[in-house]
Amino acid sequence: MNVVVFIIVFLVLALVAVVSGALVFVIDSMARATYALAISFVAVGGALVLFGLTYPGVITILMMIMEMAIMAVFMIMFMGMNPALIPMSMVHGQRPALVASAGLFVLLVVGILLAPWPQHPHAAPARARQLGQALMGDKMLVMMTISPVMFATIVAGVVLASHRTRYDRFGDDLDRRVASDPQPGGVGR
Amino acid sequence: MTDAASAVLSVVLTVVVLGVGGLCAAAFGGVLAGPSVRHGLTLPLAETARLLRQRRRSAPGADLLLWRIAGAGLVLVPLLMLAVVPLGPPPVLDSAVGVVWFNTADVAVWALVWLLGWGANATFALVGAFRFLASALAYELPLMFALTAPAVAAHSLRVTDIVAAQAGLPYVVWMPLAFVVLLVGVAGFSVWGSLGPAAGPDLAGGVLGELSGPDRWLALTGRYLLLVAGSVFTAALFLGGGAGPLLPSWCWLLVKSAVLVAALVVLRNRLVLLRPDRFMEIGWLILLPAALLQLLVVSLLVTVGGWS
Amino acid sequence: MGLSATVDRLLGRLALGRLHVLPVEVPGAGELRMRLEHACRVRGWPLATSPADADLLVVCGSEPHGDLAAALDRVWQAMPGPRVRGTLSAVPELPGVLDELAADYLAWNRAEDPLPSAEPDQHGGHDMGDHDMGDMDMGDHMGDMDMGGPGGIALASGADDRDGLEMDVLHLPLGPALPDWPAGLSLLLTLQGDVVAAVEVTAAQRIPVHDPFAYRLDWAARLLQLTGAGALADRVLAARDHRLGLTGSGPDPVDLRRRIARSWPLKRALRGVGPVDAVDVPVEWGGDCYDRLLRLVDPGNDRTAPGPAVQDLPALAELLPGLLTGSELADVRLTVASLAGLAFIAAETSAGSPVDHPVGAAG
Repeated sequence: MNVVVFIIVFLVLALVAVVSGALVFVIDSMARATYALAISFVAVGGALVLFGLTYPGVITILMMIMEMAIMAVFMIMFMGMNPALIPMSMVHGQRPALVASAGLFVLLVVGILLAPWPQHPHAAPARARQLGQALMGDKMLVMMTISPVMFATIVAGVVLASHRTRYDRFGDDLDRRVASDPQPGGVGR
Repeated sequence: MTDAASAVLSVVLTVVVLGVGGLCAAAFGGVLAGPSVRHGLTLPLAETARLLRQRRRSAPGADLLLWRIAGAGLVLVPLLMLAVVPLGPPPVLDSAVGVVWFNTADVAVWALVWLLGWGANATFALVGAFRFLASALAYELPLMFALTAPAVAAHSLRVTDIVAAQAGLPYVVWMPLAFVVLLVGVAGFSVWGSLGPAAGPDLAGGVLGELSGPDRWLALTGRYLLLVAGSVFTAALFLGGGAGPLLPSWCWLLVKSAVLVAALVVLRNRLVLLRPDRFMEIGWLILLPAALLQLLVVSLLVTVGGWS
Repeated sequence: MGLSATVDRLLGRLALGRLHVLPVEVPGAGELRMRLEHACRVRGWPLATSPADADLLVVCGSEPHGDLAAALDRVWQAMPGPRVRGTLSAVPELPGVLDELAADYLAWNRAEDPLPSAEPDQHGGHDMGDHDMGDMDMGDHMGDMDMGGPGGIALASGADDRDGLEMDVLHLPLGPALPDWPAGLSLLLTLQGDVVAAVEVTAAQRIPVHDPFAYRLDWAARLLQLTGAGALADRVLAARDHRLGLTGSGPDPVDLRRRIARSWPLKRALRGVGPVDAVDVPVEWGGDCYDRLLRLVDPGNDRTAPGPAVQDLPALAELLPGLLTGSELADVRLTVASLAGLAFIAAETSAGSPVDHPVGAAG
């Protein structure tokens, strides 16, 4: 790809990401803020694709759109307030947040400018297997068991936090054949 | 043929396949429903004329920007979905991660249908939007795992590679569960038939209930286009794409997609609306284990048995 | 969108094959409505699902008054146009009315029929038509949020719901002009999400009918339509039209019931929906929606001659608040559709004890 075109596309994506990210705090509606955030992430995903990291880029876009849609579910469930078009304030603790974000930005810029980037980057694409070996090496087995353990922890946490336990659903002796729920599920358990 | 000309041809072909496919799906649906075959065949034309003549309306307090974007998006997303599928000539976007690209496009539908319901500022539409999200939570994960099975077998996420790998045997023969789960997912993101309670009659049209005029046309067309795009993708991924004797590859792909579209249109109101509270358990306790089991079997066959 | 006159006429002509009709039934004119639906089906004109989807608004029956007239005005306002409003007061008018309305549709002039501006309605929830504009609760406002919401409508306030979440309270009238809803019954639901928190009956009339068995088939078809089983609903509608004498032959009633009883998805969808204990209510109402559906399509209906009867909506309305509170919106529609079809009692006993003598006891 032509270097000039590359730079222009990158700048456009970067501008979209930053502007829509800033809009999240300025916009009047929760739903619009949510989707402004989604657009910001999509632009970041686009930038990743531009750098040749196609898979992470497309996955970022996928995950972020899904996340924003699920956020709508949580907004209704826990915020109690419609995602309506009303003037609202999305920020609090402004001074410490500004200081922290400005400081982090300076740190990152310094790091980017001072890092010893290679002058002639490798032509060969990094292969997933080589990358995995380099990153995880002998610890592959540990890495692979960690993710089901994490998943099991999440599930266990949700079960522990659940309002209705199996004793509410199946009776004190767990002997009810069909669970007593306010809304029956589709499988008839 | 030069690269530029080939690219233009691919784009034109994608648009034409989608347009003609949507038209035929609507006409076929009309023939099944209407009083006469002739009446059914003119359904797309009559409805388009009626909707173009209708005025747009907006409810008080409606979020017009998001509402209109949702309708337009529903027509653009099928184009994106179909861009990675080889329709004869190489696809518009021969992406190395074509399967994930399709998945991203179908997740974008989550956002669009929700916005369609929320933007209208009406109770029935909002209930419809949340019904869609609840159904989507149930079909999406099984869909993702069903998409992974052909990718594992072909050792690639590129759709052209998956189509090429089915030269011997179409994947539907040894991955039937994944095929069924993908079709359920296609019906789901098209808000179609059993998985269309978001636009159900008990909600007076649900997410579609407040739309009129060109906006309604965009949303209804978008549904048909999503159905067609999903069916073409399923045909490419499981039925071998353009593979087959005698006829050229684009012809075979169209025939296979047409069979899938026809099946989905016939099933539209033969079953019942699966409301999300009923569908949630079906999705997580039946479809997801089925997809995972299928993936396990496929992985074993590929790594140990050397199948592809 | 300004279209030139010729394009507009051309589009109108093309659209004439598929005009969407919204029939509104004045209580007592059910048979008229059924005949209208049949006439539309023969022409290939589908029924509209909502006012935004409708081209023709046809009022079946004599001049409506009170709540229904107000509801009709709101439905008319919600129709985007081209729109035509007509009345059907007697059966002989039927083919003529549809042709007239089609001609009016073609001749509709955008300039003569301006769309009302999208002003929010200032009244409370009670006298609105079937499509409420969302949140109308003028309860306490939260913290520092502005009282004026989008379009000048106040935001909904929250309250705890059935599942322990704090959700916004919405008021939804299920009113006189809603499709697949009993004419003469109006409810005001207090919804949180799609769960009903409270039900208030705003209208329930006793409606005289001539052939309750045609109505039973009609309600069975509507229940099937609401469940999503459109193909079966069409068969039941064919049986209904045959019962009304509109077609020469209809499906075999025994076969029809068998088809419906054999449908496993239907059973799974309707089992456990709207369970009613048959205590202090007619025996026919007992069970869940699936049991009631089977009673509605019972072949015994076909053998009994039509006779005068009354649709006892007040008795139904007494049952509804207790029955519907805590269920979801879909269950509300299915339950009301199944009960409305079984609410017919023989006219001579209507002055006596309707509960003991339900019509269709052969079922």
